[in-house]
Amino acid sequence: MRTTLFRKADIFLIGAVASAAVLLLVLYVRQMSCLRTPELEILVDSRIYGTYSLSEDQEIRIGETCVCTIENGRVMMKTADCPDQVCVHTKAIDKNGGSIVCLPNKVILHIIEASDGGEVDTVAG
Amino acid sequence: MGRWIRLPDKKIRKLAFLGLFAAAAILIGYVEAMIPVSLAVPGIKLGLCNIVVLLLIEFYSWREALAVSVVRILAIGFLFGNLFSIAYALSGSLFSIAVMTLLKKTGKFGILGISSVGGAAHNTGQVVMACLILKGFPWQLYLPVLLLTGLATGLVTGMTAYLTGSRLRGKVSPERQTDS
Amino acid sequence: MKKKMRKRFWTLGLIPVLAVGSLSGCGTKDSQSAERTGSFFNTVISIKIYDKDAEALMDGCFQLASEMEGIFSAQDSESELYSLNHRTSSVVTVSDDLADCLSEGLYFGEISDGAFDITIYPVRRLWDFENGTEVVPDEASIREAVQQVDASKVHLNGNEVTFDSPDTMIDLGGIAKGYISSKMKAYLKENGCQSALINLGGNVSTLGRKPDGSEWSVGIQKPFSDRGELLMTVTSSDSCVISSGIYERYFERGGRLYHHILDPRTGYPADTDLNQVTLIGDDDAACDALSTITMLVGREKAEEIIRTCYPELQVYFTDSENHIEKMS
Repeated sequence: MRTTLFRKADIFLIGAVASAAVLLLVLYVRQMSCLRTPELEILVDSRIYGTYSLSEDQEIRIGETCVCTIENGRVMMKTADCPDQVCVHTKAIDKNGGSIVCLPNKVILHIIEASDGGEVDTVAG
Repeated sequence: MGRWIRLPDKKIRKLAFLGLFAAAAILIGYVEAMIPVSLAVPGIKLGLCNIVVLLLIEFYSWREALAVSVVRILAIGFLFGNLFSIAYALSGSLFSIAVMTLLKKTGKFGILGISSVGGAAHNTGQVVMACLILKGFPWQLYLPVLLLTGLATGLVTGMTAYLTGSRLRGKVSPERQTDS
Repeated sequence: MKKKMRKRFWTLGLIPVLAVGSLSGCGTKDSQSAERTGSFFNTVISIKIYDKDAEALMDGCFQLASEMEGIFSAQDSESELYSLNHRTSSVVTVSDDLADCLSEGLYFGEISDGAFDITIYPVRRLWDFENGTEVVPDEASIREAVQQVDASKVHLNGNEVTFDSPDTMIDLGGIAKGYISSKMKAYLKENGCQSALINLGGNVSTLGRKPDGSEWSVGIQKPFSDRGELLMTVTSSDSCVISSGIYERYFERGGRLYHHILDPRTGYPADTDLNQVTLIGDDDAACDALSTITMLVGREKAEEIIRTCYPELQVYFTDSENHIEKMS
């Protein structure tokens, strides 16, 4: 190969990209740990499907395609009709942040800060 | 009939090698599709095909790398994936090839540097496409993780490409397109 | 030399990024605001207004609430509805508001094939869910009352109401709150208000967004749990979030649950597999009526009606296990 295997500049290059990545990660983890009241937000095709408290064990049906569960503060995709089932095998997410994505069904489960720190403006019903 | 014989040897050789590279890329892609993806962050593709891309950039240019990549993506896409996976792969490849070509042009970096950043770029391209397709995609988590894994796999593919490339030297068509 | 510069560049570059990262939180703008709670229509109403004339507008809203009670309260002997129900002639002229509401009520009776019936008053007054007497009326009285329920005996022509029978009596409980919150929003809007939150006994209606630009967040009460325990949260701006459920008013007798959503066709509480339904849309009266209709006809029939007549609504069904599911 005409190009040599390794040059000093490579260290800086890799280092720069790695630092940027670590920084982004730190920011994310920080943002998640700063959540006073984390809750689950479900997006379907970019629209908010709903938000759910993590303290409430429940099973949530998302349209015709997916079912997720909240159990002991952890969220998991229970079933989905997508071919690759990646979302079902994704590790459970909890108040420390994270997300489960079902790309074929355009479903995103992620942890966000509850609006108004968990207090809603009012209650219906 | 006579026309065929009169084509320059070099062109046929190049075409033959490109065909081999494409086949190799598809094979690698096939193997890669068999390996189960990571459980923590789905969508991590090992990016092993970058080995072929690197060799093509090295021996030819980004044009050949792009052409072979497109062939590989379509083949693997229709066999194993769907429209979306083709979109992600194309986006990742395009970005990766662009970045690696530019880095190479500067002449300041070695294969390891180029390929590791290329791997990171590949994953970045995929995340960007996911964000475009699915607004609300949590890139703040995926991007950093995939950048790091991209760097790691990039190192591996870079080393492999180098070892392969050294052995191919002189055997692959020596004709190089003028760099753009 | 070059390497040193490069290293320095990266270090310097990281500092501002870290600095930005350590900032957190966002402030809310201060605005003239007013918040008030009161008792009307046999329930608690609560209003929040953001506007430079918030106090004055609040007074206006409560004034409106009082006026509306004077029209729609079936129990208040001084109300227009009461006089309508205790009429001396079969033809009565009513106010615009009452006429509007009657008209809407009759319409919803039609699209629900009679499940929603504004002439349910004879049945309703047999039951008591508020004052604690908790009596299950005897079958005979119920049967008799059900005979008197028939919306087709009411004819509306402009502001003139004609009754075919002297026994026909009107109760607008299934739609009045929606009608009233709509009126309140219209009043606020007319007076330039752009941000308000109205809660009429659990019927939520929002005008615009909060002063900081974010949408109002509305929790959905978890059936049979303490007030404030939520099933989920939704956001709302310029829309209403109206929830109807069997847990709102009920009593238990002999092991059975009797709740306040009475079926005009049987005279007894509706029996479906739903604990609650929540509708989100921009027509308050429609959502109010449809929430009652859903609790009366059940999920399947309700989906049919909504898909046909109001396909743009967002609907959440809560089943008997408190599992909430959005209608697709």
